[in-house]
Amino acid sequence: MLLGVITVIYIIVLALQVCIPYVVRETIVFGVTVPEQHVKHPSLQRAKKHYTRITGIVGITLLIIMLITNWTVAFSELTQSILLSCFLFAMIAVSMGMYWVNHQKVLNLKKHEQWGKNLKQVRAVDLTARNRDEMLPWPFFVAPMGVTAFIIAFTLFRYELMPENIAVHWGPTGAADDWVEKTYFTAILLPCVMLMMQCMMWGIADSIKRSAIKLSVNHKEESLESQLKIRKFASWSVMLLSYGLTIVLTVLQLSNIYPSLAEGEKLLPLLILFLVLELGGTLVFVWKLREWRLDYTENVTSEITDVDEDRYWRGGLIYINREDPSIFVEKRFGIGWTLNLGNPRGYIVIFLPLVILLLISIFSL
Amino acid sequence: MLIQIEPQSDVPIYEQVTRQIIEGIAKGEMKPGDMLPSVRNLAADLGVNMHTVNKSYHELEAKGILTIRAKSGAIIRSAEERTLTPEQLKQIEKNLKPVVAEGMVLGATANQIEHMMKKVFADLQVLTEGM
Repeated sequence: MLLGVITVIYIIVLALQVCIPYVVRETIVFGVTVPEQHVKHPSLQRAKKHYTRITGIVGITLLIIMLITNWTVAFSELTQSILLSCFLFAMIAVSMGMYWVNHQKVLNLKKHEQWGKNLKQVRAVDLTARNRDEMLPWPFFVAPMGVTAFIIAFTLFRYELMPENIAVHWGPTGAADDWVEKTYFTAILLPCVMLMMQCMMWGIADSIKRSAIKLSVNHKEESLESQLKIRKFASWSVMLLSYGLTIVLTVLQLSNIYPSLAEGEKLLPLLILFLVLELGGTLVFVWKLREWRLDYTENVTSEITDVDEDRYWRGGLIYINREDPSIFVEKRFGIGWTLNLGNPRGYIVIFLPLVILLLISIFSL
Repeated sequence: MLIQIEPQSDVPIYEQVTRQIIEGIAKGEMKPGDMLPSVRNLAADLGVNMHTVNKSYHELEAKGILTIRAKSGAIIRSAEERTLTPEQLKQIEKNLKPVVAEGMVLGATANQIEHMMKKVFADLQVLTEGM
């Protein structure tokens, strides 16, 4: 079971890592801003191929070694899980290493050939873009909190009838494997965790909404359309994740009240469905990103280019810009968004719920 | 309506925003009653500090061109709401002075400058009527 889950995750992560250079914006190569006038430079194509080939070959080799070690050496479940995760992290480390090598390569090439030296940097904004933004409004993210409130009330109502031990951890098959003594606090622990998750999802959706709609100066209309589609898709994905978590955690909490619900492997199909939906959603998102990506096949003769923000990106991965009011910015190497670490609001949206989750789990022990 | 900012230009960013919004209204790309995005959203889209956009909006409000609505954005005022006052005319004259003076020093005649003014006026108006 564990081997199956980790192998599936391994393959999906590897596939994502391998295709990232071909999914992210073409004007940002390995975290370096490349003026559109240079995106077809042969060295860039070579760097992308180099990254994909090495990451792919090493990744598959590691997978084979992982499977062989797993089958030839009989481990206990604990050492098996440590071994499998080590291989997963090793593969991610290799792809990050390959990223780093190519990041330096492109950086040097850009410096050496003085890209963008004679181009005027321009930032374009469509003042009506916000009216066309189709992200879901906040009630969609607050609605599941009603379920939480109901389940808390219901738990307290049924408190006397609940079993003396409350499950707080579940194994990969959906069967509970760790319990704590029943108190009013531990009884509503799970709904509290659920509430924090819902808050976080709402915060993320709201932050993406407040983030920049970035246009490409030489392709304003196409880039606007692509941005609006990505934002709409992201907002729906966050909503589905929030609803999915709500359903799974509600069922788990109900199984605390009615233990017969979680006997054997009854909850397994639900958990698998949740995992498949989330992983499938990610793959569809990557597919769509690739489809909506701007096409730079035409030769640009324009004298202007997008603003080069490399100085705000540490290593092309971490964004710190105190002037920028955006909380989230699109990742430069990867799928989705990353935090603007220069904006304190981001810490509230992401780290506050995490800290509260941590406190809840510490107090429940 | 599109605006374009050059962060490396000598003209301050708030000034660039103000000028382009005014020009957009003059050209008829934005009409009275149209909403401008909220300060926060426009600042995010431009990738600049909120104070920059705020300064620009307040300048436009002081000129009587728009009304700021807390949180939701700003509305462009109609021509009736912003009747030209003698003070505003005086201000425009004051702003024109250095430009005309530069033309004089470089040798442009009154006729040339007058012609230029009419041309600029006509260029903006052609777009308005074309809409």
